[in-house]
Amino acid sequence: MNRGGILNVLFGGYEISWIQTVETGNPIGFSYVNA
Amino acid sequence: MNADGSTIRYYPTNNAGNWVPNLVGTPTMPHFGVGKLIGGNRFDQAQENALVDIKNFAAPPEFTPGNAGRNIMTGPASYYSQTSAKKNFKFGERWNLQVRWDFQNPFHNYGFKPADQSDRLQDPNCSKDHGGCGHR
Repeated sequence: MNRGGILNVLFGGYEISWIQTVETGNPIGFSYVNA
Repeated sequence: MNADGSTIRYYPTNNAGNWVPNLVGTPTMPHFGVGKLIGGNRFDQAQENALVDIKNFAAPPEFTPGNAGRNIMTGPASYYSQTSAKKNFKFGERWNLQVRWDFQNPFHNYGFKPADQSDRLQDPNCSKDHGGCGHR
């Protein structure tokens, strides 16, 4: 935080990490049966 | 329905060698993807939205193989996030208190499994609670 005091002690200086996973979908085909 | 009254069933599958239907439309999966809801109740499959509108398929005429082909659609993509925020509070030279928040999937994106025969291919205009117009 751009200030001093207790607020900076409590809420300043955090490290943030982020992991993002992006996957495409699976191929899908279609069949049919007579039932 | 067949002429003898039996029901023609369409299944998502990745198996080679099965019969394939004819395409009479462009099948899409409008209810599956990032930001979409599964349906009325995600714990009750009967209330889930249809995977694909079954009106896009038709039984091929006799002695014809069908023209749908293999792998004609791509399933919903997967977006999964993991975030973390941490801070170390030092107490003297020896002690260190770490406060950390970990969030798994903070945006609540659904992780859809690959489509299989348990998924619903139905006319979305039909009732969700009864399998939909005789098809499933």
